Amino acid sequence: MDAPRAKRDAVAPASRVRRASVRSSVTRISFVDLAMLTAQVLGLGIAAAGALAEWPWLTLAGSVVSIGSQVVITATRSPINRALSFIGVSRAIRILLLILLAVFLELALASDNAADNLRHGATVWLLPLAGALCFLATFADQWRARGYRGGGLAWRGLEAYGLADSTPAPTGIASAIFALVPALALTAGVPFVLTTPTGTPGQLDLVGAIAATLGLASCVLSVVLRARLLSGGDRVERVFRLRAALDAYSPEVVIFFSAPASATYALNVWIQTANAFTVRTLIVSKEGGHLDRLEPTTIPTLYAARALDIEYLTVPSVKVVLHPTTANKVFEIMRLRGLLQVFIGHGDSDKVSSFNPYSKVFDEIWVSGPAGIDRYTALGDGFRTDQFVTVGRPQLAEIATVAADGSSEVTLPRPTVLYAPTWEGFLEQANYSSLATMGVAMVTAMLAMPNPPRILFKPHPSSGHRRADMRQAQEEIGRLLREANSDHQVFEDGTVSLYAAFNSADVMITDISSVLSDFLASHKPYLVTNPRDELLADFLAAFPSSAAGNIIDTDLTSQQGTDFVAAIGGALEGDPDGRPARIALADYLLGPILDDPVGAFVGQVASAVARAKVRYPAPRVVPAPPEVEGKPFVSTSIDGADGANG
Amino acid sequence: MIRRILLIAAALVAAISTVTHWSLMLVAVALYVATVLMAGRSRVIRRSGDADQTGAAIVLSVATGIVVMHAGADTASVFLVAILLAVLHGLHLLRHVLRVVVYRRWRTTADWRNLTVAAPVPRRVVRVAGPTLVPIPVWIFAPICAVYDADPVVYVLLGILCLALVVVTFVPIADALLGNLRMPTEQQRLDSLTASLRELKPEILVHFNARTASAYALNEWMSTLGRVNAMHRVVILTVDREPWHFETITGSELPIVHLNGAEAIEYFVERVPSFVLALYPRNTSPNKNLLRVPGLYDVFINHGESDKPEAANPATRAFDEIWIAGEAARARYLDANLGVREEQLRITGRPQLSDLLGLVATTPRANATKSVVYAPTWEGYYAEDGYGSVITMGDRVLTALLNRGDLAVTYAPHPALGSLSRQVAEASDRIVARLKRAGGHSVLEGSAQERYAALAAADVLVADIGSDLVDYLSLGRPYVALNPNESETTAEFVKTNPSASAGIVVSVASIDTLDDAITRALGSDDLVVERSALANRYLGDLATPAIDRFLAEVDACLAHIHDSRPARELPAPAEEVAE
Repeated sequence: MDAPRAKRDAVAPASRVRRASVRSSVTRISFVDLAMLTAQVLGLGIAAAGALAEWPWLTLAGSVVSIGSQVVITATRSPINRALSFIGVSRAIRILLLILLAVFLELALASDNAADNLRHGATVWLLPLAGALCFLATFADQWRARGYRGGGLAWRGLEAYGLADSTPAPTGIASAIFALVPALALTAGVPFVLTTPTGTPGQLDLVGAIAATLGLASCVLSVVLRARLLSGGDRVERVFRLRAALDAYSPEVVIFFSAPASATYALNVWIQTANAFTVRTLIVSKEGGHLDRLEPTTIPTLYAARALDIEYLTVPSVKVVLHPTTANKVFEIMRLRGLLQVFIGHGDSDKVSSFNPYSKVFDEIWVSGPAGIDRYTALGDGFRTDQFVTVGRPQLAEIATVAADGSSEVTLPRPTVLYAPTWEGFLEQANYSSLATMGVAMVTAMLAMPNPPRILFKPHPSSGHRRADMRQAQEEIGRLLREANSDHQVFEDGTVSLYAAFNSADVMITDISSVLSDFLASHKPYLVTNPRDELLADFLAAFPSSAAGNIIDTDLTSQQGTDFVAAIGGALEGDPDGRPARIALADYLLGPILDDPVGAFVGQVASAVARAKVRYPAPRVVPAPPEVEGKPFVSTSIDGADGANG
Repeated sequence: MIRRILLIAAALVAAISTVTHWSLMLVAVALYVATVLMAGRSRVIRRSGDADQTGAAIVLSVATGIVVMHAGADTASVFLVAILLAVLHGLHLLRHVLRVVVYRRWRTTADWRNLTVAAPVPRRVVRVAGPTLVPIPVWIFAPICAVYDADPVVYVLLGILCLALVVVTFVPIADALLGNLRMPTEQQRLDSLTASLRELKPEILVHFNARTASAYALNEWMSTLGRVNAMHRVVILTVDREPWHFETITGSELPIVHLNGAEAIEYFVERVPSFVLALYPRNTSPNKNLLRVPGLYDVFINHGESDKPEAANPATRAFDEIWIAGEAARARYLDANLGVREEQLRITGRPQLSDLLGLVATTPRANATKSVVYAPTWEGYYAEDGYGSVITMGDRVLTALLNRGDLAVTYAPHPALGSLSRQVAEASDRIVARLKRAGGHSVLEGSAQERYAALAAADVLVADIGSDLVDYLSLGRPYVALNPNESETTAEFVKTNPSASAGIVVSVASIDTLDDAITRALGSDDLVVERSALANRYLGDLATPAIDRFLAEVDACLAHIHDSRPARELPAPAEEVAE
């Protein structure tokens, strides 16, 4: 206990606290949005100026600009709506202001010109009534949009059990635009009659009557649509239908996933393996976005936002829960009784965030090889040896392996180096990335070699999530490689799988991450960056997966007595002397290479279900849905259903 | 909803006043003022401010301008009114933006109370935005002045008055903003905070995460923690979105630190190596942010001993130890097959009983009128938390108690009762209203001391399954347990909730027997032996003062940690990492 703890302190946490490290993505405002905002303000101004100056055609133009830009804002679901609502000028208020400035100001001003006679001849109450109804039409539409009650739930793949895939929240753009028509009729119609030389008070009344009728129709439409939203998409009913479908499906295994939007990959690394499961499986995601980014799967998938959904939809047939992450929301299923909770991780690595004391909450922690067990038990903090199961890494099946005699499954036409740095992590303590500190220097050094190797650059998809310097370095390396005029390549997010990239390279340069331990499966030589220039002995002790590689400091030298360029040169020749050590390390970290690693893992899942039935023989008792209104499951809110609201 | 309708009406009436009669403007202002009065002073911090109110105010202002013009005021006067209203709304917007800036920029920063730290704490602005009030004089007087042809000087005076009002509203926000602008960086403030804690050398960190309605969960521990602090230095860590518990935690001068986010928590704990023991009064998902930090010994202390299923669930496996009051809790954990291991459970008693029993010694008990406490529990977060009696039985319980005429009723609702469900809150309000009408009875507000005082004075308790019932066992007095679920028979109820077994069970179906149950409890009292055995099972040996026993257990745990774990060390000082 003593020694590992001290080591961890020595090497890892030279961290700094950063404010708001994980920020929700900021809505970007485009030039179109800004132009429409300007048009809104200008439209109101022009309408008012026209009324003041007694130029009705100018008022007419202002109304058209104002309502036209509002239509564009609504149709494009521009963030301007929300921003203006925030400072108090919601869509309905803007329409009311336009009516005030374009119609009422014009009508209110007494003057001596001919148009004045029209105003005084028109029916007194009709135009105010039309104005009120035009405003209420927009307001009623905002109210309609708030009526959606199906938020925080989505599902796929339950058709066979009587439940078609969920549909997203209605956008309601058409009815939102229709709600603007009465106001357009009024604010354009009144100035138009006033500009017409032959205009009569009767025509003014006609405009008022048309606008009032349209306004009333729009209000009625909003009421009807809201009633339909409430009847069709009621959240409670949807949960009940889901429950019925899940009871019919009766899954035995749940893959429970919670992660930030940028980390869907942590689930995707398991999809291929999960597709081979022999037990009925359900994927449950705590965030809606993952469903759209999921790799193709036949496994039913559910997104349920609320903790009470998890309590109710974890049906009694479920015996085993597999966890690729340890997010806070793991709690929502962890609190349920009678389930065998298994942490499967999403890539076995030496990173601090990959093993922390909280993981002892799981019944079982599945690790690739013996190294995983050593790492957890070295942490102390209450881990027990009976919690661990060695399962190998089924994802590594497609990595081409160099045999002990140096023969390879794949031969490459030209010596190739893969640079695959990790990202900066959510916490600065977990930042092992070399991208910002060493990336550009290493690529430059390789390009300057007498016989520069082919360079493949594959940055982590989340790079730059938290730090701008990571993004800059990534762009700079891309530029260097393009300008080098060779067949170097940059693998953007998703274009080439990591393992295909492994198979295209002779040597890899990487950081402390799961990429490194995965690469060990190839038995090829590798270089590991030491971006904090820690002492070699400390570094090797803290990160066992680096032990069979060259460790490179930030100044591109190595404390092992060589330097970066020499190390690359040796590695490109295959480094046969280091091969036995690499193979031994791979066995220790990843488990021995199996003929059918996926099949072995599928077997492990099936036997976990059997173990769960022994350990928790009584099926989980799912409580009846709460009858008390106000619990999170029954209470209704508008999450996920913004529509054209605003 | 009513407020919103009134605001719409105010805006519409103001708009219509421009083409009909100026006096309608006064009606609009009246409607607007009514909504301001309805809004009241909410303590809740609003992110967006009151957008509806602002929207209506803008419409009123534009309408005022048109009315003034319509009334035939001279150009200079119209100009003055227009500029004045534009300036007032501009200033309101500016104030709104500044408040949002202060709120967003310093919302998540570290904060603390009851600690001497070199760095300052952030100034917070509680209300992000309020309704626009300053233009009201303009809305009222400008149309009148225009109609009666007032001199432009009058408008100038009106403007000076309003602008003076605006300046007053800017003082607190400007003060907070200027104070916060001189704030050191978050890094420096955390370093300063941890440096001061390294001198204090606290050993125990109490992790607390809760809505304001759940503050009771920590408050019932505060007197005990105060005693612990005398020996081992305790720091409270609150991790909510806002540091609202600075106000809700009462009854102690213990240091409170507010942090936000996993990274800050980890940094803080690493830099105060004297922390070795973390206590958790609630079993919630944000606990993970501290549980994941290596080097601490994590102990779940819960907030009250009861048969509620939520008190024992598999998520508690994440703790190194679970401290429980007695044998009943041990059986609850082990029999439920949660995966919790026996060595994780440590019986530490229920130290809060010392407060309760201390009050019993000093509370005189009236003989003439018997005292009954009705203590329903709250609705809970989850479907399985269905043991609150307020909705299904509350009214009839009260009727039975009041009809007897020989009882002084104390209504002691759970502190969080009605905080999630309006239906429950309304049922509770009805009970309170009935008691007020009847007179001579009392309603508790929710503090722990007040509850103990009520229990100490009670002759009989009528309660739902919950910790009040178990605490009351220590007094050896008779009680009635309520079974609010029609689907559960009394036998099943007692089996799942053994704390009811030494009381008289009254269920929804048998509510008519409550009167007899009270008579039996006050009279023959034939369950004395059962109660004594049950108290022993739930609360342990009551011969030793509970607080002494708990303090001894804390000592023992700390000694165990110091013996079995290496001393935590301060990591190397933070390097300057290139941004």
